[in-house]
Amino acid sequence: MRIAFGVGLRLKEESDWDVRNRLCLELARTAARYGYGIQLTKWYVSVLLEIRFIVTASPAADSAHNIFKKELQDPLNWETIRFPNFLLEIWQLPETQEAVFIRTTDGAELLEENALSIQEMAERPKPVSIYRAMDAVVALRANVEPSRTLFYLNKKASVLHDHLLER
Amino acid sequence: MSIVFEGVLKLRDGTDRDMFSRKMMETALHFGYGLRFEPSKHDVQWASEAVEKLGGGETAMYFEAVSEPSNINADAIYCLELWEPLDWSKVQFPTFLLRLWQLPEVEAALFVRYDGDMENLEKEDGLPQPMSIYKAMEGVVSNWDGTARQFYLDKKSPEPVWRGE
Repeated sequence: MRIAFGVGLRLKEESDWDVRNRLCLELARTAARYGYGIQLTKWYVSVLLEIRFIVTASPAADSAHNIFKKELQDPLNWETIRFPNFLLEIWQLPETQEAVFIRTTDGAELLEENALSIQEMAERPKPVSIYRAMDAVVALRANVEPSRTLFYLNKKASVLHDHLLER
Repeated sequence: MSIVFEGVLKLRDGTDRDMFSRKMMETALHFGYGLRFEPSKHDVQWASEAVEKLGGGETAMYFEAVSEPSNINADAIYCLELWEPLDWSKVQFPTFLLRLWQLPEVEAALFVRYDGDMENLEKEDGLPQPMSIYKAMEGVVSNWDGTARQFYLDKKSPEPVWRGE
Protein backbone atom coordinates (compact mmCIF):
# COMPACT_ATOMS: atom_id res chain seq x y z
CA MET A 1 0.00 0.00 0.00
CA ARG A 2 1.26 3.39 -0.93
CA ILE A 3 0.65 6.62 0.94
CA ALA A 4 -0.87 9.41 -1.12
CA PHE A 5 -1.47 12.98 -0.09
CA GLY A 6 -4.02 15.26 -1.70
CA VAL A 7 -4.65 18.95 -1.21
CA GLY A 8 -7.71 21.03 -2.05
CA LEU A 9 -7.40 24.79 -1.81
CA ARG A 10 -10.29 27.20 -1.93
CA LEU A 11 -9.14 30.64 -2.99
CA LYS A 12 -10.35 34.01 -1.82
CA GLU A 13 -13.58 35.12 -3.48
CA GLU A 14 -11.93 37.96 -5.37
CA SER A 15 -9.48 35.62 -7.12
CA ASP A 16 -9.61 35.60 -10.90
CA TRP A 17 -8.03 33.40 -13.55
CA ASP A 18 -4.75 35.31 -13.38
CA VAL A 19 -4.56 34.76 -9.63
CA ARG A 20 -5.39 31.10 -10.05
CA ASN A 21 -2.80 30.57 -12.77
CA ARG A 22 -0.12 32.40 -10.81
CA LEU A 23 -0.93 30.32 -7.75
CA CYS A 24 -0.60 27.06 -9.70
CA LEU A 25 2.85 28.21 -10.78
CA GLU A 26 3.73 29.23 -7.23
CA LEU A 27 2.60 25.85 -5.89
CA ALA A 28 4.74 24.00 -8.42
CA ARG A 29 7.75 26.19 -7.56
CA THR A 30 7.23 25.71 -3.84
CA ALA A 31 7.01 21.95 -4.27
CA ALA A 32 10.11 21.89 -6.49
CA ARG A 33 12.05 23.85 -3.86
CA TYR A 34 11.41 20.98 -1.43
CA GLY A 35 12.20 18.40 -4.11
CA TYR A 36 8.52 17.38 -4.35
CA GLY A 37 6.08 17.63 -7.22
CA ILE A 38 2.42 18.45 -7.61
CA GLN A 39 -0.03 16.88 -9.98
CA LEU A 40 -3.21 18.86 -10.59
CA THR A 41 -6.25 16.60 -10.60
CA LYS A 42 -7.63 16.79 -14.08
CA TRP A 43 -11.33 16.87 -13.16
CA TYR A 44 -11.07 20.17 -11.41
CA VAL A 45 -8.74 22.35 -13.44
CA SER A 46 -11.70 24.29 -14.76
CA VAL A 47 -12.99 25.36 -11.36
CA LEU A 48 -11.93 28.95 -10.78
CA LEU A 49 -11.86 29.15 -7.00
CA GLU A 50 -10.49 25.70 -6.29
CA ILE A 51 -7.14 24.11 -6.93
CA ARG A 52 -6.80 20.42 -6.19
CA PHE A 53 -3.65 18.45 -6.50
CA ILE A 54 -1.78 15.37 -5.42
CA VAL A 55 1.60 15.85 -3.80
CA THR A 56 4.30 13.63 -5.22
CA ALA A 57 7.68 12.67 -3.79
CA SER A 58 9.46 14.13 -6.83
CA PRO A 59 8.18 15.79 -9.98
CA ALA A 60 8.34 12.39 -11.71
CA ALA A 61 6.82 10.31 -8.91
CA ASP A 62 3.22 9.18 -8.71
CA SER A 63 2.52 9.69 -5.01
CA ALA A 64 3.87 11.17 -1.78
CA HIS A 65 4.83 7.71 -0.52
CA ASN A 66 8.58 8.24 -0.56
CA ILE A 67 8.29 11.54 1.30
CA PHE A 68 6.81 9.62 4.20
CA LYS A 69 9.30 6.79 3.86
CA LYS A 70 12.32 9.11 3.77
CA GLU A 71 11.30 11.81 6.24
CA LEU A 72 9.00 10.13 8.70
CA GLN A 73 10.41 6.76 9.69
CA ASP A 74 11.00 5.89 13.33
CA PRO A 75 13.19 6.96 15.01
CA LEU A 76 12.31 10.44 13.79
CA ASN A 77 15.17 12.49 12.46
CA TRP A 78 14.15 16.09 12.99
CA GLU A 79 16.86 17.24 10.59
CA THR A 80 15.09 15.72 7.62
CA ILE A 81 11.44 16.50 8.33
CA ARG A 82 10.31 19.09 5.80
CA PHE A 83 6.89 17.96 4.62
CA PRO A 84 4.98 19.87 7.35
CA ASN A 85 6.90 23.04 6.36
CA PHE A 86 5.66 22.55 2.82
CA LEU A 87 2.06 22.30 4.08
CA LEU A 88 2.57 25.42 6.19
CA GLU A 89 3.87 27.35 3.18
CA ILE A 90 0.91 26.31 1.07
CA TRP A 91 -1.46 27.31 3.84
CA GLN A 92 0.20 30.69 4.28
CA LEU A 93 -0.08 31.68 0.64
CA PRO A 94 -2.17 34.85 0.78
CA GLU A 95 -4.60 33.62 -1.89
CA THR A 96 -5.59 30.57 0.17
CA GLN A 97 -8.80 30.85 2.18
CA GLU A 98 -9.58 27.23 3.03
CA ALA A 99 -7.67 23.99 2.65
CA VAL A 100 -8.34 20.29 2.82
CA PHE A 101 -5.45 17.89 3.30
CA ILE A 102 -6.15 14.22 2.71
CA ARG A 103 -3.70 11.49 3.58
CA THR A 104 -4.66 8.07 2.35
CA THR A 105 -3.09 4.65 2.01
CA ASP A 106 -5.59 3.68 -0.67
CA GLY A 107 -3.23 4.91 -3.36
CA ALA A 108 -2.90 7.97 -5.51
CA GLU A 109 -5.28 6.70 -8.19
CA LEU A 110 -8.16 6.47 -5.73
CA LEU A 111 -7.30 9.88 -4.36
CA GLU A 112 -7.40 11.39 -7.79
CA GLU A 113 -10.73 9.81 -8.62
CA ASN A 114 -12.65 10.02 -5.36
CA ALA A 115 -11.12 11.59 -2.34
CA LEU A 116 -11.16 15.19 -3.45
CA SER A 117 -14.80 15.19 -4.37
CA ILE A 118 -16.92 18.30 -4.13
CA GLN A 119 -19.13 16.41 -1.72
CA GLU A 120 -16.24 15.81 0.63
CA MET A 121 -15.42 19.50 0.63
CA ALA A 122 -19.08 20.23 1.38
CA GLU A 123 -19.15 17.81 4.30
CA ARG A 124 -16.16 19.37 5.93
CA PRO A 125 -15.06 18.14 9.29
CA LYS A 126 -14.44 20.58 12.13
CA PRO A 127 -11.55 22.92 11.25
CA VAL A 128 -8.16 22.33 12.83
CA SER A 129 -5.18 24.62 13.12
CA ILE A 130 -2.36 24.18 10.63
CA TYR A 131 -0.10 23.25 13.56
CA ARG A 132 -2.40 20.42 14.58
CA ALA A 133 -2.44 19.13 11.01
CA MET A 134 1.38 19.29 10.83
CA ASP A 135 1.64 17.45 14.13
CA ALA A 136 -0.77 14.73 13.06
CA VAL A 137 0.93 14.18 9.71
CA VAL A 138 4.25 13.56 11.46
CA ALA A 139 2.66 11.52 14.25
CA LEU A 140 1.24 9.13 11.67
CA ARG A 141 4.74 8.54 10.27
CA ALA A 142 4.58 6.10 7.37
CA ASN A 143 1.92 3.93 9.04
CA VAL A 144 -0.78 2.45 6.84
CA GLU A 145 -3.47 2.86 9.52
CA PRO A 146 -5.67 4.83 9.65
CA SER A 147 -6.26 4.37 5.96
CA ARG A 148 -7.57 7.88 5.52
CA THR A 149 -7.14 11.10 7.49
CA LEU A 150 -8.60 14.41 6.47
CA PHE A 151 -7.78 17.86 7.83
CA TYR A 152 -9.90 20.90 7.11
CA LEU A 153 -8.44 24.38 7.66
CA ASN A 154 -10.18 27.72 7.36
CA LYS A 155 -8.43 31.06 7.78
CA LYS A 156 -11.61 32.55 9.18
CA ALA A 157 -11.94 29.91 11.91
CA SER A 158 -10.57 30.84 15.31
CA VAL A 159 -9.90 27.18 15.89
CA LEU A 160 -7.26 27.54 18.55
CA HIS A 161 -9.76 29.18 20.83
CA ASP A 162 -12.05 26.18 20.44
CA HIS A 163 -9.21 23.82 21.28
CA LEU A 164 -8.35 25.82 24.35
CA LEU A 165 -11.89 25.39 25.59
CA GLU A 166 -11.73 21.67 24.93
CA ARG A 167 -8.69 21.13 27.15
CA MET B 1 1.25 43.66 31.87
CA SER B 2 3.08 42.82 28.70
CA ILE B 3 3.93 39.54 27.08
CA VAL B 4 7.49 38.30 27.19
CA PHE B 5 8.90 35.43 25.14
CA GLU B 6 12.27 33.96 26.01
CA GLY B 7 14.12 30.86 25.07
CA VAL B 8 17.29 28.91 25.57
CA LEU B 9 18.72 26.85 22.75
CA LYS B 10 21.05 23.93 23.29
CA LEU B 11 23.68 24.02 20.56
CA ARG B 12 25.72 21.26 19.02
CA ASP B 13 29.29 20.87 20.20
CA GLY B 14 31.63 23.05 18.21
CA THR B 15 29.03 25.60 17.13
CA ASP B 16 30.49 29.05 16.55
CA ARG B 17 28.31 31.11 18.89
CA ASP B 18 28.96 34.43 17.18
CA MET B 19 28.09 33.08 13.75
CA PHE B 20 25.05 31.34 15.16
CA SER B 21 23.77 34.46 16.91
CA ARG B 22 24.06 36.29 13.59
CA LYS B 23 22.06 33.56 11.92
CA MET B 24 19.40 33.84 14.63
CA MET B 25 19.25 37.60 14.23
CA GLU B 26 18.93 37.33 10.45
CA THR B 27 16.05 34.93 10.92
CA ALA B 28 14.35 37.34 13.34
CA LEU B 29 14.85 40.31 11.01
CA HIS B 30 13.36 38.36 8.14
CA PHE B 31 10.09 38.35 10.14
CA GLY B 32 10.52 41.96 11.29
CA TYR B 33 11.35 40.93 14.86
CA GLY B 34 14.42 41.54 16.97
CA LEU B 35 16.38 39.52 19.53
CA ARG B 36 18.20 40.27 22.76
CA PHE B 37 20.84 37.96 24.10
CA GLU B 38 21.02 39.24 27.68
CA PRO B 39 18.15 38.64 30.11
CA SER B 40 16.46 41.57 31.83
CA LYS B 41 17.11 41.81 35.54
CA HIS B 42 13.67 40.41 36.48
CA ASP B 43 14.23 37.15 34.62
CA VAL B 44 17.92 36.51 35.22
CA GLN B 45 17.09 33.65 37.54
CA TRP B 46 14.93 31.79 34.99
CA ALA B 47 17.52 32.38 32.28
CA SER B 48 20.46 31.15 34.34
CA GLU B 49 18.55 28.06 35.51
CA ALA B 50 17.41 27.28 31.97
CA VAL B 51 20.93 27.66 30.62
CA GLU B 52 22.20 25.24 33.27
CA LYS B 53 19.46 22.72 32.44
CA LEU B 54 20.45 22.82 28.78
CA GLY B 55 24.14 22.19 29.30
CA GLY B 56 25.60 25.38 30.73
CA GLY B 57 27.02 28.59 29.33
CA GLU B 58 29.31 26.95 26.79
CA THR B 59 26.53 24.98 25.16
CA ALA B 60 23.31 26.92 25.66
CA MET B 61 22.30 30.26 24.22
CA TYR B 62 19.70 32.53 25.81
CA PHE B 63 17.53 34.86 23.75
CA GLU B 64 14.50 37.06 24.16
CA ALA B 65 12.26 37.69 21.16
CA VAL B 66 11.16 41.29 20.76
CA SER B 67 8.57 42.65 18.38
CA GLU B 68 11.04 44.75 16.41
CA PRO B 69 14.75 45.53 16.76
CA SER B 70 14.10 48.67 18.80
CA ASN B 71 11.39 47.24 21.02
CA ILE B 72 11.61 45.91 24.55
CA ASN B 73 9.60 42.69 24.45
CA ALA B 74 7.31 40.46 22.39
CA ASP B 75 4.09 42.16 23.44
CA ALA B 76 3.42 43.87 20.12
CA ILE B 77 3.91 40.59 18.25
CA TYR B 78 1.01 39.16 20.22
CA CYS B 79 -1.07 42.31 19.88
CA LEU B 80 -0.57 42.52 16.12
CA GLU B 81 -0.69 38.85 15.19
CA LEU B 82 -2.61 36.94 17.81
CA TRP B 83 -5.67 38.91 18.75
CA GLU B 84 -9.12 37.29 18.78
CA PRO B 85 -10.59 36.63 16.31
CA LEU B 86 -7.41 35.22 14.81
CA ASP B 87 -6.49 36.48 11.37
CA TRP B 88 -4.47 33.61 9.98
CA SER B 89 -2.92 35.76 7.30
CA LYS B 90 -1.04 37.66 10.04
CA VAL B 91 0.09 34.79 12.26
CA GLN B 92 3.86 34.47 11.73
CA PHE B 93 5.43 34.08 15.16
CA PRO B 94 5.08 30.27 15.31
CA THR B 95 6.73 30.06 11.88
CA PHE B 96 9.65 32.05 13.27
CA LEU B 97 9.98 29.55 16.13
CA LEU B 98 9.88 26.69 13.63
CA ARG B 99 12.71 28.28 11.64
CA LEU B 100 14.81 28.71 14.78
CA TRP B 101 14.11 25.14 15.81
CA GLN B 102 15.12 23.81 12.43
CA LEU B 103 18.50 25.51 12.38
CA PRO B 104 20.92 22.59 12.18
CA GLU B 105 23.01 23.88 15.10
CA VAL B 106 20.08 23.43 17.51
CA GLU B 107 19.73 20.22 19.52
CA ALA B 108 17.05 21.21 22.02
CA ALA B 109 15.08 24.28 23.01
CA LEU B 110 13.19 25.59 26.00
CA PHE B 111 10.75 28.42 25.32
CA VAL B 112 8.77 30.35 27.89
CA ARG B 113 5.91 32.76 27.33
CA TYR B 114 4.57 34.80 30.22
CA ASP B 115 2.45 37.81 30.80
CA GLY B 116 4.10 40.36 33.07
CA ASP B 117 5.76 38.05 35.54
CA MET B 118 6.74 34.46 36.06
CA GLU B 119 5.07 34.02 39.41
CA ASN B 120 2.60 31.48 38.08
CA LEU B 121 5.19 29.47 36.15
CA GLU B 122 5.19 25.89 37.36
CA LYS B 123 8.53 25.24 38.98
CA GLU B 124 10.20 22.07 37.84
CA ASP B 125 13.49 20.69 39.00
CA GLY B 126 14.37 19.28 35.62
CA LEU B 127 13.11 19.97 32.16
CA PRO B 128 9.42 19.65 31.24
CA GLN B 129 8.23 16.73 29.10
CA PRO B 130 9.36 17.27 25.52
CA MET B 131 6.72 18.09 22.94
CA SER B 132 6.78 18.41 19.19
CA ILE B 133 7.52 21.78 17.63
CA TYR B 134 4.04 21.73 16.12
CA LYS B 135 2.38 21.39 19.53
CA ALA B 136 4.54 24.23 20.79
CA MET B 137 3.49 26.39 17.83
CA GLU B 138 -0.14 25.76 18.66
CA GLY B 139 0.47 26.32 22.37
CA VAL B 140 2.20 29.64 21.76
CA VAL B 141 -0.79 30.90 19.82
CA SER B 142 -3.56 29.41 21.93
CA ASN B 143 -2.48 30.02 25.49
CA TRP B 144 -4.36 33.19 26.37
CA ASP B 145 -5.31 32.57 29.99
CA GLY B 146 -2.35 34.54 31.32
CA THR B 147 -0.57 31.49 32.69
CA ALA B 148 3.17 31.38 32.15
CA ARG B 149 3.96 28.34 30.06
CA GLN B 150 7.11 26.51 29.05
CA PHE B 151 7.68 24.47 25.91
CA TYR B 152 10.54 22.01 25.80
CA LEU B 153 11.70 20.52 22.50
CA ASP B 154 14.37 17.92 21.96
CA LYS B 155 15.44 16.69 18.54
CA LYS B 156 16.11 13.27 20.08
CA SER B 157 12.54 13.03 21.35
CA PRO B 158 10.13 10.80 19.43
CA GLU B 159 7.24 13.30 19.76
CA PRO B 160 4.73 13.64 18.17
CA VAL B 161 2.83 10.43 18.90
CA TRP B 162 -0.38 9.59 17.06
CA ARG B 163 -3.34 9.55 19.44
CA GLY B 164 -6.16 9.55 16.91
CA GLU B 165 -8.52 12.35 16.16
